[in-house]
Amino acid sequence: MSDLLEGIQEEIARRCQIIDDPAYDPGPKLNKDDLIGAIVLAVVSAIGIALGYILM
Amino acid sequence: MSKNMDTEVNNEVYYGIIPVFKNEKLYNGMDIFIILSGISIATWCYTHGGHLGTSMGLAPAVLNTFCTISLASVFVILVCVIATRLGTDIWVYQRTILGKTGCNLFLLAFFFATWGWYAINAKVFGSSMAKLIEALGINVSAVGETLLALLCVALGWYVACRGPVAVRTTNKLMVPCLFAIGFILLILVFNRWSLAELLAMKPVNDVGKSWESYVLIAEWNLAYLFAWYPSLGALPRLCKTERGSYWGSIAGFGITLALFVCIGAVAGLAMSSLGIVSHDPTDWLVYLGGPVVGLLSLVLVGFANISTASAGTYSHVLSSKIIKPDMKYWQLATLWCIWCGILVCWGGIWDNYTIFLAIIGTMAAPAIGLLVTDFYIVRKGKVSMKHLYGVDDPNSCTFTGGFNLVGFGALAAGIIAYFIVYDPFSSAARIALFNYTTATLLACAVSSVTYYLLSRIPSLRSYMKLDTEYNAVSPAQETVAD
Repeated sequence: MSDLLEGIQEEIARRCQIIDDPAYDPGPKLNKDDLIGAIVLAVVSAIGIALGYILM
Repeated sequence: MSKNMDTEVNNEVYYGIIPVFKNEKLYNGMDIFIILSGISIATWCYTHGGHLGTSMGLAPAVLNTFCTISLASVFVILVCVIATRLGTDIWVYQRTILGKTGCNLFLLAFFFATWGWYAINAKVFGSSMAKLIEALGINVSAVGETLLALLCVALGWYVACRGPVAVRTTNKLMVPCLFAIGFILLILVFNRWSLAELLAMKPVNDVGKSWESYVLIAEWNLAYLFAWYPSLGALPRLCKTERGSYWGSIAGFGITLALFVCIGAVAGLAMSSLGIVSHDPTDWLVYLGGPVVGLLSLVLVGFANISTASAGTYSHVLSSKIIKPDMKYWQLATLWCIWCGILVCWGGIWDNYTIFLAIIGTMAAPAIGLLVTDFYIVRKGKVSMKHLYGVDDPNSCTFTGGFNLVGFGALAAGIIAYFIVYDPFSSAARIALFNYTTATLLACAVSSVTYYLLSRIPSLRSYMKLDTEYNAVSPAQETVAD
Protein backbone atom coordinates (compact mmCIF):
# COMPACT_ATOMS: atom_id res chain seq x y z
CA MET A 1 0.00 0.00 0.00
CA SER A 2 1.38 3.42 -0.92
CA ASP A 3 2.01 6.07 1.75
CA LEU A 4 -0.57 8.30 0.08
CA LEU A 5 -3.24 5.62 0.13
CA GLU A 6 -2.48 4.91 3.78
CA GLY A 7 -2.75 8.64 4.55
CA ILE A 8 -6.03 8.90 2.63
CA GLN A 9 -7.49 5.92 4.46
CA GLU A 10 -6.48 7.34 7.84
CA GLU A 11 -8.04 10.68 6.99
CA ILE A 12 -11.22 9.02 5.72
CA ALA A 13 -11.47 6.99 8.94
CA ARG A 14 -11.01 10.13 11.06
CA ARG A 15 -13.64 12.03 9.12
CA CYS A 16 -16.14 9.18 9.04
CA GLN A 17 -15.85 8.92 12.82
CA ILE A 18 -16.71 12.63 13.13
CA ILE A 19 -19.52 12.63 10.56
CA ASP A 20 -21.13 9.51 12.03
CA ASP A 21 -21.06 11.09 15.48
CA PRO A 22 -24.60 12.11 16.53
CA ALA A 23 -23.23 15.53 17.51
CA TYR A 24 -22.16 16.29 13.93
CA ASP A 25 -24.41 18.81 12.20
CA PRO A 26 -24.37 18.59 8.38
CA GLY A 27 -26.48 21.77 8.11
CA PRO A 28 -30.15 22.54 7.60
CA LYS A 29 -32.14 19.99 5.66
CA LEU A 30 -34.80 20.43 3.02
CA ASN A 31 -38.04 21.35 4.74
CA LYS A 32 -41.76 21.76 4.02
CA ASP A 33 -41.22 24.98 2.09
CA ASP A 34 -38.99 23.11 -0.33
CA LEU A 35 -41.57 20.35 -0.60
CA ILE A 36 -44.28 22.89 -1.44
CA GLY A 37 -42.01 24.54 -4.01
CA ALA A 38 -41.28 21.18 -5.62
CA ILE A 39 -44.99 20.30 -5.76
CA VAL A 40 -45.86 23.67 -7.34
CA LEU A 41 -43.11 23.23 -9.97
CA ALA A 42 -44.31 19.69 -10.70
CA VAL A 43 -47.97 20.71 -11.06
CA VAL A 44 -47.19 23.70 -13.31
CA SER A 45 -44.96 21.47 -15.45
CA ALA A 46 -47.63 18.77 -15.73
CA ILE A 47 -50.16 21.39 -16.89
CA GLY A 48 -47.60 22.63 -19.45
CA ILE A 49 -47.11 19.10 -20.80
CA ALA A 50 -50.88 18.70 -21.24
CA LEU A 51 -51.13 22.10 -22.90
CA GLY A 52 -48.32 21.20 -25.31
CA TYR A 53 -50.28 18.14 -26.47
CA ILE A 54 -53.46 20.17 -26.91
CA LEU A 55 -51.55 22.67 -29.07
CA MET A 56 -50.12 19.98 -31.36
CA MET B 1 3.02 11.75 8.54
CA SER B 2 5.38 14.21 6.80
CA LYS B 3 4.21 17.73 6.04
CA ASN B 4 4.26 17.05 2.29
CA MET B 5 2.17 13.93 2.74
CA ASP B 6 -0.18 15.88 4.99
CA THR B 7 -0.68 18.45 2.22
CA GLU B 8 -1.23 15.73 -0.36
CA VAL B 9 -3.84 14.05 1.79
CA ASN B 10 -5.61 17.37 2.43
CA ASN B 11 -5.67 18.01 -1.32
CA GLU B 12 -7.64 14.80 -1.68
CA VAL B 13 -10.63 16.53 -0.04
CA TYR B 14 -11.14 18.54 -3.24
CA TYR B 15 -9.35 16.26 -5.71
CA GLY B 16 -10.43 12.90 -4.38
CA ILE B 17 -13.02 10.92 -2.44
CA ILE B 18 -12.37 12.08 1.13
CA PRO B 19 -15.70 13.28 2.62
CA VAL B 20 -16.03 17.04 3.02
CA PHE B 21 -16.92 18.69 6.32
CA LYS B 22 -19.61 21.35 6.38
CA ASN B 23 -17.10 24.14 7.06
CA GLU B 24 -14.91 23.08 4.11
CA LYS B 25 -17.66 23.37 1.52
CA LEU B 26 -17.03 25.99 -1.13
CA TYR B 27 -20.25 26.62 -2.97
CA ASN B 28 -23.54 28.33 -2.17
CA GLY B 29 -26.73 27.80 -4.15
CA MET B 30 -25.85 30.52 -6.65
CA ASP B 31 -22.40 28.99 -7.26
CA ILE B 32 -23.99 25.61 -7.89
CA PHE B 33 -26.49 27.20 -10.26
CA ILE B 34 -23.71 28.97 -12.20
CA ILE B 35 -21.37 25.97 -12.40
CA LEU B 36 -24.09 23.50 -13.33
CA SER B 37 -25.42 25.99 -15.87
CA GLY B 38 -21.88 26.08 -17.26
CA ILE B 39 -22.08 22.33 -17.85
CA SER B 40 -25.69 22.08 -18.91
CA ILE B 41 -26.12 25.02 -21.31
CA ALA B 42 -23.25 23.90 -23.40
CA THR B 43 -23.70 23.79 -27.10
CA TRP B 44 -25.15 20.30 -26.90
CA CYS B 45 -28.39 22.02 -25.80
CA TYR B 46 -28.58 23.43 -29.30
CA THR B 47 -27.75 20.04 -30.78
CA HIS B 48 -30.59 18.47 -28.81
CA GLY B 49 -32.93 21.44 -29.38
CA GLY B 50 -32.18 21.50 -33.09
CA HIS B 51 -33.06 17.81 -33.23
CA LEU B 52 -36.41 18.47 -31.49
CA GLY B 53 -37.20 21.62 -33.47
CA THR B 54 -36.96 19.74 -36.73
CA SER B 55 -39.18 16.92 -35.41
CA MET B 56 -42.22 18.76 -34.04
CA GLY B 57 -44.01 22.12 -34.27
CA LEU B 58 -42.71 24.94 -32.13
CA ALA B 59 -45.40 25.22 -29.41
CA PRO B 60 -45.58 21.51 -28.52
CA ALA B 61 -41.80 21.11 -28.82
CA VAL B 62 -41.13 23.99 -26.43
CA LEU B 63 -43.83 23.06 -23.91
CA ASN B 64 -42.91 19.38 -24.04
CA THR B 65 -39.22 20.12 -23.56
CA PHE B 66 -39.46 22.78 -20.88
CA CYS B 67 -42.13 21.08 -18.80
CA THR B 68 -40.89 17.48 -19.09
CA ILE B 69 -37.37 18.44 -18.06
CA SER B 70 -38.59 20.70 -15.22
CA LEU B 71 -41.00 18.07 -13.91
CA ALA B 72 -38.46 15.26 -13.97
CA SER B 73 -35.76 17.42 -12.39
CA VAL B 74 -37.87 17.68 -9.20
CA PHE B 75 -37.20 13.95 -8.76
CA VAL B 76 -33.76 13.52 -10.34
CA ILE B 77 -32.14 16.34 -8.37
CA LEU B 78 -32.97 14.59 -5.08
CA VAL B 79 -29.77 12.68 -5.85
CA CYS B 80 -27.75 15.92 -5.47
CA VAL B 81 -29.10 16.32 -1.94
CA ILE B 82 -27.63 12.93 -0.98
CA ALA B 83 -24.17 14.15 -1.98
CA THR B 84 -24.63 17.46 -0.15
CA ARG B 85 -25.86 15.86 3.05
CA LEU B 86 -23.10 13.27 3.23
CA GLY B 87 -20.35 15.49 1.80
CA THR B 88 -19.33 12.71 -0.56
CA ASP B 89 -19.91 11.75 -4.17
CA ILE B 90 -22.84 9.56 -5.16
CA TRP B 91 -20.36 7.06 -6.57
CA VAL B 92 -19.08 6.38 -3.06
CA TYR B 93 -22.68 6.01 -1.90
CA GLN B 94 -23.48 3.55 -4.68
CA ARG B 95 -21.01 1.07 -3.25
CA THR B 96 -23.72 0.04 -0.84
CA ILE B 97 -26.26 -0.40 -3.68
CA LEU B 98 -24.09 -2.12 -6.29
CA GLY B 99 -21.20 -3.44 -4.21
CA LYS B 100 -17.67 -2.09 -4.31
CA THR B 101 -16.49 -3.92 -7.44
CA GLY B 102 -19.89 -3.63 -9.09
CA CYS B 103 -19.91 0.12 -8.54
CA ASN B 104 -16.42 0.44 -10.05
CA LEU B 105 -17.37 -1.57 -13.12
CA PHE B 106 -20.65 0.31 -13.57
CA LEU B 107 -18.76 3.60 -13.31
CA LEU B 108 -16.32 2.50 -15.99
CA ALA B 109 -19.09 1.32 -18.31
CA PHE B 110 -21.04 4.51 -17.83
CA PHE B 111 -18.11 6.88 -18.07
CA PHE B 112 -16.78 5.33 -21.27
CA ALA B 113 -20.15 6.26 -22.78
CA THR B 114 -20.77 9.56 -21.08
CA TRP B 115 -17.52 11.15 -22.28
CA GLY B 116 -19.37 11.26 -25.58
CA TRP B 117 -21.04 14.46 -24.35
CA TYR B 118 -17.65 16.11 -24.07
CA ALA B 119 -16.69 14.83 -27.49
CA ILE B 120 -19.80 16.59 -28.87
CA ASN B 121 -18.82 19.69 -26.92
CA ALA B 122 -15.30 19.58 -28.34
CA LYS B 123 -16.61 19.03 -31.85
CA VAL B 124 -18.73 22.19 -31.65
CA PHE B 125 -15.67 24.07 -30.35
CA GLY B 126 -13.62 22.80 -33.29
CA SER B 127 -16.40 23.72 -35.68
CA SER B 128 -16.73 27.28 -34.33
CA MET B 129 -12.97 27.87 -34.32
CA ALA B 130 -12.66 26.49 -37.86
CA LYS B 131 -15.36 28.89 -39.06
CA LEU B 132 -13.56 31.77 -37.35
CA ILE B 133 -10.29 30.89 -39.04
CA GLU B 134 -12.03 30.46 -42.39
CA ALA B 135 -13.47 33.95 -41.95
CA LEU B 136 -9.87 35.16 -41.93
CA GLY B 137 -9.39 33.59 -45.33
CA ILE B 138 -7.56 30.45 -44.20
CA ASN B 139 -9.10 27.15 -45.24
CA VAL B 140 -9.36 24.57 -42.43
CA SER B 141 -9.36 20.90 -43.40
CA ALA B 142 -11.35 18.21 -41.59
CA VAL B 143 -8.16 17.13 -39.83
CA GLY B 144 -7.54 20.71 -38.77
CA GLU B 145 -11.06 20.93 -37.32
CA THR B 146 -10.48 17.74 -35.37
CA LEU B 147 -7.22 19.14 -34.00
CA LEU B 148 -9.09 22.27 -32.90
CA ALA B 149 -11.65 20.04 -31.17
CA LEU B 150 -8.81 18.27 -29.36
CA LEU B 151 -7.59 21.69 -28.21
CA CYS B 152 -10.90 22.13 -26.37
CA VAL B 153 -10.36 18.81 -24.56
CA ALA B 154 -6.83 19.90 -23.63
CA LEU B 155 -7.94 23.31 -22.33
CA GLY B 156 -10.73 21.68 -20.30
CA TRP B 157 -8.12 19.33 -18.83
CA TYR B 158 -5.87 22.28 -17.97
CA VAL B 159 -8.58 24.22 -16.09
CA ALA B 160 -9.93 21.10 -14.37
CA CYS B 161 -6.44 20.29 -13.07
CA ARG B 162 -6.40 23.70 -11.33
CA GLY B 163 -9.23 22.47 -9.06
CA PRO B 164 -12.75 23.45 -7.97
CA VAL B 165 -12.01 27.13 -7.34
CA ALA B 166 -10.57 27.51 -10.85
CA VAL B 167 -13.61 25.69 -12.22
CA ARG B 168 -15.90 28.13 -10.40
CA THR B 169 -13.90 31.17 -11.57
CA THR B 170 -13.87 29.96 -15.17
CA ASN B 171 -17.58 29.29 -15.12
CA LYS B 172 -18.37 32.67 -13.58
CA LEU B 173 -16.61 34.23 -16.54
CA MET B 174 -17.95 31.89 -19.20
CA VAL B 175 -21.56 31.37 -18.17
CA PRO B 176 -22.49 34.96 -19.12
CA CYS B 177 -21.01 34.11 -22.56
CA LEU B 178 -23.31 31.10 -22.75
CA PHE B 179 -26.34 33.18 -21.82
CA ALA B 180 -25.26 35.84 -24.33
CA ILE B 181 -25.08 33.26 -27.14
CA GLY B 182 -28.60 32.06 -26.37
CA PHE B 183 -30.07 35.51 -26.32
CA ILE B 184 -28.16 36.62 -29.42
CA LEU B 185 -29.55 33.59 -31.21
CA LEU B 186 -33.10 34.40 -30.10
CA ILE B 187 -32.75 38.03 -31.16
CA LEU B 188 -31.41 36.97 -34.56
CA VAL B 189 -34.32 34.57 -35.07
CA PHE B 190 -37.01 37.01 -33.99
CA ASN B 191 -35.39 39.72 -36.07
CA ARG B 192 -36.16 37.66 -39.14
CA TRP B 193 -39.41 35.86 -38.27
CA SER B 194 -42.45 36.80 -36.20
CA LEU B 195 -43.77 34.50 -33.48
CA ALA B 196 -46.82 33.73 -35.62
CA GLU B 197 -44.57 32.67 -38.52
CA LEU B 198 -42.50 30.46 -36.24
CA LEU B 199 -45.61 28.84 -34.77
CA ALA B 200 -46.92 28.10 -38.27
CA MET B 201 -43.68 26.46 -39.51
CA LYS B 202 -43.74 22.76 -40.40
CA PRO B 203 -40.88 20.62 -39.07
CA VAL B 204 -38.81 18.97 -41.80
CA ASN B 205 -38.52 15.62 -39.99
CA ASP B 206 -42.06 15.64 -38.62
CA VAL B 207 -42.69 12.75 -36.23
CA GLY B 208 -46.46 13.31 -36.52
CA LYS B 209 -49.17 14.87 -34.39
CA SER B 210 -50.18 11.87 -32.36
CA TRP B 211 -49.88 11.26 -28.63
CA GLU B 212 -47.30 8.56 -29.48
CA SER B 213 -45.00 11.05 -31.17
CA TYR B 214 -45.49 13.54 -28.33
CA VAL B 215 -44.40 10.89 -25.84
CA LEU B 216 -41.43 10.00 -28.05
CA ILE B 217 -40.21 13.60 -27.80
CA ALA B 218 -40.77 13.46 -24.03
CA GLU B 219 -38.66 10.27 -23.93
CA TRP B 220 -35.75 12.04 -25.64
CA ASN B 221 -36.05 14.93 -23.19
CA LEU B 222 -36.14 12.61 -20.19
CA ALA B 223 -33.12 10.67 -21.41
CA TYR B 224 -31.35 13.99 -21.85
CA LEU B 225 -32.04 15.03 -18.25
CA PHE B 226 -31.30 11.62 -16.70
CA ALA B 227 -27.98 11.67 -18.57
CA TRP B 228 -26.64 14.01 -15.86
CA TYR B 229 -26.58 11.07 -13.49
CA PRO B 230 -22.77 10.67 -13.29
CA SER B 231 -22.32 14.38 -12.49
CA LEU B 232 -25.05 14.67 -9.87
CA GLY B 233 -22.74 14.26 -6.88
CA ALA B 234 -19.24 15.60 -7.50
CA LEU B 235 -20.10 19.31 -7.44
CA PRO B 236 -23.21 19.37 -5.18
CA ARG B 237 -21.18 17.58 -2.48
CA LEU B 238 -19.32 20.90 -2.10
CA CYS B 239 -22.54 22.88 -1.57
CA LYS B 240 -23.05 24.35 1.90
CA THR B 241 -26.80 23.78 2.23
CA GLU B 242 -29.28 21.21 0.97
CA ARG B 243 -31.64 23.95 -0.13
CA GLY B 244 -28.89 25.63 -2.18
CA SER B 245 -27.94 22.27 -3.64
CA TYR B 246 -31.50 21.25 -4.53
CA TRP B 247 -32.77 24.49 -6.04
CA GLY B 248 -29.41 25.48 -7.50
CA SER B 249 -29.22 22.10 -9.23
CA ILE B 250 -32.85 22.25 -10.42
CA ALA B 251 -32.17 25.72 -11.81
CA GLY B 252 -28.85 24.67 -13.40
CA PHE B 253 -29.39 21.09 -14.54
CA GLY B 254 -33.15 21.42 -15.09
CA ILE B 255 -34.70 24.78 -15.89
CA THR B 256 -31.73 26.51 -17.54
CA LEU B 257 -30.99 23.38 -19.51
CA ALA B 258 -34.61 23.23 -20.69
CA LEU B 259 -34.60 26.92 -21.58
CA PHE B 260 -31.58 26.56 -23.83
CA VAL B 261 -32.84 23.39 -25.46
CA CYS B 262 -35.96 25.41 -26.30
CA ILE B 263 -33.81 28.16 -27.83
CA GLY B 264 -32.12 25.44 -29.88
CA ALA B 265 -35.53 24.14 -30.97
CA VAL B 266 -36.63 27.62 -32.07
CA ALA B 267 -33.42 28.20 -34.04
CA GLY B 268 -33.35 24.68 -35.50
CA LEU B 269 -36.94 24.98 -36.73
CA ALA B 270 -36.38 28.46 -38.15
CA MET B 271 -33.23 27.42 -39.98
CA SER B 272 -34.87 24.30 -41.38
CA SER B 273 -37.47 26.55 -43.00
CA LEU B 274 -34.59 28.05 -45.00
CA GLY B 275 -33.43 24.60 -46.05
CA ILE B 276 -30.54 24.55 -43.60
CA VAL B 277 -31.06 21.38 -41.60
CA SER B 278 -28.17 21.45 -39.17
CA HIS B 279 -27.86 20.70 -35.47
CA ASP B 280 -24.65 22.70 -35.27
CA PRO B 281 -25.37 26.11 -33.67
CA THR B 282 -22.32 27.64 -35.31
CA ASP B 283 -23.99 27.18 -38.72
CA TRP B 284 -27.04 29.05 -37.43
CA LEU B 285 -25.02 31.88 -35.88
CA VAL B 286 -22.95 32.50 -39.00
CA TYR B 287 -25.98 32.43 -41.30
CA LEU B 288 -28.26 34.56 -39.14
CA GLY B 289 -25.70 36.91 -37.64
CA GLY B 290 -23.72 37.81 -40.71
CA PRO B 291 -19.98 38.45 -40.57
CA VAL B 292 -19.73 40.57 -37.41
CA VAL B 293 -22.33 39.24 -34.97
CA GLY B 294 -21.88 35.72 -36.28
CA LEU B 295 -18.14 35.71 -35.77
CA LEU B 296 -18.40 37.35 -32.36
CA SER B 297 -20.86 34.63 -31.36
CA LEU B 298 -18.42 31.97 -32.55
CA VAL B 299 -15.80 33.37 -30.16
CA LEU B 300 -18.31 33.14 -27.31
CA VAL B 301 -19.22 29.57 -28.30
CA GLY B 302 -15.56 28.63 -28.26
CA PHE B 303 -14.89 30.00 -24.80
CA ALA B 304 -18.11 28.61 -23.42
CA ASN B 305 -17.15 25.13 -24.58
CA ILE B 306 -13.95 25.32 -22.56
CA SER B 307 -15.87 26.05 -19.34
CA THR B 308 -18.14 23.10 -20.08
CA ALA B 309 -15.16 20.84 -20.66
CA SER B 310 -13.47 22.00 -17.45
CA ALA B 311 -16.48 21.48 -15.15
CA GLY B 312 -17.29 18.13 -16.75
CA THR B 313 -13.72 16.92 -16.56
CA TYR B 314 -13.40 17.92 -12.90
CA SER B 315 -16.63 16.18 -12.00
CA HIS B 316 -15.91 12.95 -13.90
CA VAL B 317 -12.32 12.61 -12.78
CA LEU B 318 -13.26 13.17 -9.17
CA SER B 319 -15.95 10.49 -9.35
CA SER B 320 -13.67 7.96 -10.98
CA LYS B 321 -11.15 8.27 -8.14
CA ILE B 322 -13.26 5.76 -6.22
CA ILE B 323 -11.56 3.09 -8.31
CA LYS B 324 -8.02 4.06 -7.31
CA PRO B 325 -8.02 6.76 -4.62
CA ASP B 326 -4.24 7.22 -4.55
CA MET B 327 -3.92 7.79 -8.28
CA LYS B 328 -2.85 11.35 -9.03
CA TYR B 329 -5.78 13.51 -10.09
CA TRP B 330 -3.96 14.89 -13.13
CA GLN B 331 -2.99 11.39 -14.29
CA LEU B 332 -6.59 10.25 -14.17
CA ALA B 333 -7.72 13.45 -15.88
CA THR B 334 -5.18 12.80 -18.62
CA LEU B 335 -6.39 9.24 -19.18
CA TRP B 336 -10.04 10.30 -19.47
CA CYS B 337 -9.18 13.21 -21.76
CA ILE B 338 -7.27 10.82 -24.03
CA TRP B 339 -10.43 8.71 -24.22
CA CYS B 340 -12.46 11.83 -25.00
CA GLY B 341 -9.93 12.66 -27.71
CA ILE B 342 -10.41 9.20 -29.23
CA LEU B 343 -14.18 9.78 -29.34
CA VAL B 344 -13.60 13.17 -30.98
CA CYS B 345 -11.41 11.59 -33.68
CA TRP B 346 -13.93 8.79 -34.21
CA GLY B 347 -16.88 11.19 -34.67
CA GLY B 348 -19.52 8.47 -34.31
CA ILE B 349 -21.27 10.04 -31.31
CA TRP B 350 -22.35 13.01 -33.42
CA ASP B 351 -23.60 10.80 -36.23
CA ASN B 352 -25.57 8.45 -33.95
CA TYR B 353 -26.91 10.99 -31.47
CA THR B 354 -30.27 9.37 -30.60
CA ILE B 355 -28.66 5.95 -30.07
CA PHE B 356 -26.01 7.51 -27.86
CA LEU B 357 -28.75 9.27 -25.87
CA ALA B 358 -30.64 6.00 -25.48
CA ILE B 359 -27.61 4.07 -24.25
CA ILE B 360 -27.01 6.71 -21.59
CA GLY B 361 -30.71 6.77 -20.64
CA THR B 362 -30.85 2.97 -20.41
CA MET B 363 -28.26 2.90 -17.64
CA ALA B 364 -28.93 6.25 -15.94
CA ALA B 365 -32.66 5.99 -15.28
CA PRO B 366 -32.55 2.72 -13.27
CA ALA B 367 -29.46 3.93 -11.40
CA ILE B 368 -31.15 7.19 -10.35
CA GLY B 369 -34.24 5.25 -9.27
CA LEU B 370 -32.08 3.00 -7.11
CA LEU B 371 -30.25 5.93 -5.49
CA VAL B 372 -33.43 7.78 -4.54
CA THR B 373 -35.22 4.64 -3.35
CA ASP B 374 -32.26 3.39 -1.35
CA PHE B 375 -31.47 6.65 0.42
CA TYR B 376 -34.90 8.18 0.98
CA ILE B 377 -37.16 5.14 1.29
CA VAL B 378 -35.19 2.01 2.20
CA ARG B 379 -32.61 3.62 4.50
CA LYS B 380 -34.76 6.65 5.41
CA GLY B 381 -31.68 8.86 5.15
CA LYS B 382 -29.75 6.92 7.79
CA VAL B 383 -26.35 6.04 6.41
CA SER B 384 -23.13 5.12 8.13
CA MET B 385 -20.15 6.76 6.49
CA LYS B 386 -17.91 4.09 8.00
CA HIS B 387 -19.96 1.50 6.17
CA LEU B 388 -19.69 3.35 2.84
CA TYR B 389 -15.93 3.69 3.14
CA GLY B 390 -15.36 0.30 4.77
CA VAL B 391 -13.59 1.87 7.75
CA ASP B 392 -14.15 -0.77 10.43
CA ASP B 393 -14.88 -3.59 8.02
CA PRO B 394 -13.08 -3.49 4.64
CA ASN B 395 -15.68 -5.96 3.34
CA SER B 396 -18.68 -3.84 4.32
CA CYS B 397 -19.67 -3.31 0.68
CA THR B 398 -18.31 -6.55 -0.72
CA PHE B 399 -21.57 -8.60 -0.64
CA THR B 400 -21.03 -11.38 -3.23
CA GLY B 401 -17.56 -11.09 -4.73
CA GLY B 402 -17.85 -7.30 -4.73
CA PHE B 403 -21.34 -7.23 -6.27
CA ASN B 404 -24.61 -6.48 -4.49
CA LEU B 405 -26.81 -8.93 -6.36
CA VAL B 406 -29.99 -7.26 -5.10
CA GLY B 407 -28.90 -3.90 -6.50
CA PHE B 408 -27.76 -5.41 -9.78
CA GLY B 409 -30.95 -7.46 -10.04
CA ALA B 410 -33.06 -4.32 -9.66
CA LEU B 411 -30.83 -2.47 -12.11
CA ALA B 412 -31.17 -5.29 -14.64
CA ALA B 413 -34.97 -5.33 -14.19
CA GLY B 414 -35.08 -1.63 -15.09
CA ILE B 415 -32.87 -2.06 -18.14
CA ILE B 416 -34.93 -5.03 -19.37
CA ALA B 417 -38.15 -3.01 -18.90
CA TYR B 418 -36.59 -0.24 -20.97
CA PHE B 419 -35.88 -2.54 -23.90
CA ILE B 420 -39.26 -4.27 -23.66
CA VAL B 421 -41.12 -1.03 -24.31
CA TYR B 422 -38.68 0.87 -26.54
CA ASP B 423 -36.24 0.24 -29.35
CA PRO B 424 -33.58 2.95 -29.03
CA PHE B 425 -31.92 1.96 -32.30
CA SER B 426 -34.98 2.80 -34.38
CA SER B 427 -36.37 5.35 -31.89
CA ALA B 428 -39.71 3.52 -31.87
CA ALA B 429 -42.03 2.14 -29.20
CA ARG B 430 -42.26 -1.66 -29.11
CA ILE B 431 -45.48 -1.87 -27.09
CA ALA B 432 -48.31 0.52 -26.23
CA LEU B 433 -47.22 0.81 -22.59
CA PHE B 434 -44.46 3.14 -23.77
CA ASN B 435 -47.09 5.74 -24.65
CA TYR B 436 -48.12 6.03 -21.01
CA THR B 437 -44.84 5.60 -19.14
CA THR B 438 -41.97 6.38 -21.53
CA ALA B 439 -39.01 3.99 -21.42
CA THR B 440 -36.87 6.12 -19.12
CA LEU B 441 -39.50 6.60 -16.43
CA LEU B 442 -40.61 2.97 -16.63
CA ALA B 443 -37.02 1.75 -16.23
CA CYS B 444 -36.59 4.06 -13.25
CA ALA B 445 -39.86 2.91 -11.65
CA VAL B 446 -39.26 -0.82 -12.26
CA SER B 447 -35.79 -0.64 -10.69
CA SER B 448 -37.08 1.35 -7.73
CA VAL B 449 -40.05 -0.91 -7.00
CA THR B 450 -38.00 -4.09 -7.49
CA TYR B 451 -35.29 -2.84 -5.15
CA TYR B 452 -37.81 -1.73 -2.54
CA LEU B 453 -39.71 -5.04 -2.60
CA LEU B 454 -36.51 -7.06 -2.38
CA SER B 455 -35.37 -4.94 0.56
CA ARG B 456 -38.55 -5.98 2.46
CA ILE B 457 -37.54 -9.64 2.41
CA PRO B 458 -35.81 -10.37 5.75
CA SER B 459 -33.06 -12.59 4.35
CA LEU B 460 -32.21 -10.03 1.68
CA ARG B 461 -32.27 -7.21 4.25
CA SER B 462 -29.63 -9.13 6.10
CA TYR B 463 -27.66 -9.64 2.86
CA MET B 464 -27.88 -5.91 2.15
CA LYS B 465 -26.75 -5.21 5.74
CA LEU B 466 -29.68 -2.88 6.21
CA ASP B 467 -30.23 -3.64 9.87
CA THR B 468 -26.68 -4.09 11.06
CA GLU B 469 -24.50 -1.30 9.72
CA TYR B 470 -26.23 1.82 10.88
CA ASN B 471 -25.71 2.09 14.58
CA ALA B 472 -23.45 5.12 14.47
CA VAL B 473 -25.70 7.46 12.60
CA SER B 474 -26.17 11.12 13.34
CA PRO B 475 -29.79 12.19 13.90
CA ALA B 476 -28.91 15.08 11.59
CA GLN B 477 -28.83 12.57 8.73
CA GLU B 478 -32.50 11.70 9.03
CA THR B 479 -34.42 12.50 5.91
CA VAL B 480 -37.54 14.20 7.18
CA ALA B 481 -36.98 17.68 8.46
CA ASP B 482 -39.37 19.58 10.62
